[in-house]
Amino acid sequence: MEAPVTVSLAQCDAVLGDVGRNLETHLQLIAQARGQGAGLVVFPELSLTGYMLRDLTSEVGLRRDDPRLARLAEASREVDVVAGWIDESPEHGLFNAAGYFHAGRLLHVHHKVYLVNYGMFEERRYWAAGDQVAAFEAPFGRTGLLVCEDVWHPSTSYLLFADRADVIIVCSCSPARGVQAGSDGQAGLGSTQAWDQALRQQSSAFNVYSIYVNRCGVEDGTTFSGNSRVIDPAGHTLAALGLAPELRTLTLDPAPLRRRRAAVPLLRDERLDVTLGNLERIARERFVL
Amino acid sequence: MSVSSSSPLLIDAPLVEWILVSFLREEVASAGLARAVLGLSGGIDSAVACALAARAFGPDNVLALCLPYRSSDPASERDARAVAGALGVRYEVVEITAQIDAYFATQPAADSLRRGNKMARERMTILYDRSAEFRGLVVGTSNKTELLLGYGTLFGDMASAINPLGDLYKTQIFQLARHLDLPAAVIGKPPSADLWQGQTDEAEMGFTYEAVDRLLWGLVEQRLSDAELAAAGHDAALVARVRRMIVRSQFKRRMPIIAKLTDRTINQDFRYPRDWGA
Repeated sequence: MEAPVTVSLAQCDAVLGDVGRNLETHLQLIAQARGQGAGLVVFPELSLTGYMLRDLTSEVGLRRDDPRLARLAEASREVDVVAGWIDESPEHGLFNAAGYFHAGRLLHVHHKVYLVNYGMFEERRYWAAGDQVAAFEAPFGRTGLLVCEDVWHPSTSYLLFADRADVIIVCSCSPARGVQAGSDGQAGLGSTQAWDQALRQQSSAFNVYSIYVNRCGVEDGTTFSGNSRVIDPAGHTLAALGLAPELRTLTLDPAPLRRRRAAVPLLRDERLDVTLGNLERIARERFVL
Repeated sequence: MSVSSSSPLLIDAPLVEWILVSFLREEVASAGLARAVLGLSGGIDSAVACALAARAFGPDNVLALCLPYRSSDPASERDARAVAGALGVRYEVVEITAQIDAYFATQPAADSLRRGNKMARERMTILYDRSAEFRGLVVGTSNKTELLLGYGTLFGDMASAINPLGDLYKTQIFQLARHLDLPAAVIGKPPSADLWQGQTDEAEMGFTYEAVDRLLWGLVEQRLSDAELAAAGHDAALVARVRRMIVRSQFKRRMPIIAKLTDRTINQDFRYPRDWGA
């Protein structure tokens, strides 16, 4: 990690299918974040479009030259921005995308690889799946982007770790589920507890900062659970938001990352050759290539 | 009615309240409105829905209508009035006796099922009529237990614009009612459709909510097989009966099916969110 970064978690609602109104919300929150000294503002998954799009997907897909993306890029001259939208490829594929805007341009785009298609979800019906997981150089250090369900496949976090990411940013639209009271009197959402565990596992297993920004608000009866959080490279929670909309700003420092990598040198010791060789063997045995 | 301290049916009531109040506020706002109308029967479900609506919109923006027929238990209206009074919501009593009796004067052979269904649908038309005047959405009061068992009248008490209670089992409604500090009379009395004197849900269905909720939890939430349910101590005859009730009432939980003719049949391949443009 090259430098400290002051990051604002923009835990916000969205208007379903209304890119124009959501863009205005983004610009307002970006201005507020600047006021709080942020160098980076992170928005949730599909922050420009809302989540439950279904057939609206094709109506809100944005080409890379769309003037609305240009306005977001323009705002990134002052502060870096991570936002989510439906990215329409030249072949008219419609991807669930998260993008990193810096200094007036789109620096990196991640297409959600693992489209969730079970239980209440039907993403694969509407969206094209990404096939790349890559870290990139953000101004403060090497960074990776993931979208929601990607994190439930630890292979994506592993690839970013192998690609030397110091920070993994996760944009999410996680629905609130599981309202059982805990046996010890402690309670909270089942879905939030699961996310907390997954993110702490990601950070401690791969020695990275995890920045998780989740939606709030309600779409078609589903309440998004907020509870955005930041986990340090040892798996400790640095910030945990509640269910309501909030803009929370905090600074991530390189020193704890460096200390953790010295104490637990997992990246230094990681055997890519062993992983690769065995994955090839497993693929040969499982699939006719 | 209570569930044991280790039951999976035990809910985090403050969290549920937060989610349901936010659900009501946002989904009503999606319709461009900020008010709610509901039928207040004197029972626990509508009392809970009313309390949530009062918190979501403020009591003055909630219209609670008690809609008794002449055979309704007078205690029901008394309890409904107590709930409305405790919450401070707008409250009116609208008798449905005249129109029900006028209709059934032409249908002397109608049994109690037909009469009960007609009353439920009469109440529905009044709620929708008054919602247009009040500029509010009709808030539903059907819980998950009755939705799964089909214990409700299609387009009657099952009709609503939005339903905050449909993912809560009946025993969970009781927990939420206690958390919301509803009057003891409403929480303490046996649940009843109040179609005739002395009717109770549990006597009519032949099982307790406590037993059927535990069974539904295993059957629906945990997807247990008959053998696994038997091993967990559920009565095999009850399991078979409840499975049948769920399947036979499936039509009540879906919109009417449309005969497919084009490439974009509504809800089959014309799929938009309900909150389209909201």
